[in-house]
Amino acid sequence: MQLCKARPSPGRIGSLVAAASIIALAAGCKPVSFHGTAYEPPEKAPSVVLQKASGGEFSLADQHGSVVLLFFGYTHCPDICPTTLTDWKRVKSALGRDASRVRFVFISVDPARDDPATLQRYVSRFDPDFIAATGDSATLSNIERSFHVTSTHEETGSANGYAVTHPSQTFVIDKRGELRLLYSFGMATADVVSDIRELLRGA
Amino acid sequence: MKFAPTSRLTLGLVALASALAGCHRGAHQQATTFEMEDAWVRAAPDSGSTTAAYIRFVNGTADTVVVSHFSSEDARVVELHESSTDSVGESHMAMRDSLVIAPAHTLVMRPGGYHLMLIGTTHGLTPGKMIRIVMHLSNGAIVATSARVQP
Repeated sequence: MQLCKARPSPGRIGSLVAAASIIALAAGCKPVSFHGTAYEPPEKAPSVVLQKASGGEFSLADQHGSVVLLFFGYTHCPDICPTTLTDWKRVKSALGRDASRVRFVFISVDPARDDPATLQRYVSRFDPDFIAATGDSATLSNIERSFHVTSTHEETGSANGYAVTHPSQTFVIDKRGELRLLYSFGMATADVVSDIRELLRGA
Repeated sequence: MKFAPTSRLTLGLVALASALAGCHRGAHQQATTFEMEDAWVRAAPDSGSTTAAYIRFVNGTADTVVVSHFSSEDARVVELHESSTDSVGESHMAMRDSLVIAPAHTLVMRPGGYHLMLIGTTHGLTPGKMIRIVMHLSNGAIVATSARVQP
């Protein structure tokens, strides 16, 4: 899978993985092998404070104790975004009771069209427990920058209006608030569930 | 208007349109088919929504098939789009003019790739319903398939 811009180079990631494995083995631990691309070492997740579409504030820092899946999208997106949300729905179902310790967060990067009511209705179509959040353009830009991603408007000539180029990946933050994994679009449900269970066990 | 929930249509009209256009085939030639299979559309419960449909095109003919226009009574506009993901994982979407299926080739629309964008759905598309998608081919033929609404 591809890594986002400004991420550690694959070479550096390889070195870090090897070093982490040696340390883990020396300590008598079996290193966890994730299906998603692992942040090695894990990074403190950036600050994310946005308006929840259902009302009130969403703060990523308040989610400690839960595993968070986070995606940047928009409601006029007919392909990548609904596919990801449908995949999340399958993941949540497969997790069963463990899903209560997982937060699924859809951040709209199209605040001009995604007013809170539109955004909440859209995300609730997939699962009413999914969290939808957005903010003003400046706030969103800062958050995107801290995740090393961007979103831009693109005029395509479509009757659907402009398209938004946005990250296709899902970011995974662990119970301690650290960025741990990155999933490319279309990741298999069983692999995501397996990784989340590892993180819920404290991996 | 109701449509049979078929997932595949055999395109006799291609041969018919070709014949009308003067592209006669010998009577001894085997029948060739252009098939549309496994069509589905993602649910969109609200009227006026935008959603996507996906179809598998199997061109068993000896000719290139070009689909130049799509339409549906179930949406105000139907457009052909292609999603792609670049080297840093960013998703892009571009509108395409036509779909070209080479002879003896299969083109599969799927999430993250080619899809039909249904804009302004005329009614709620709930799982299990069927909608009809009409395709206008460059040789003048018009064909249609039924797509099942899926979650």
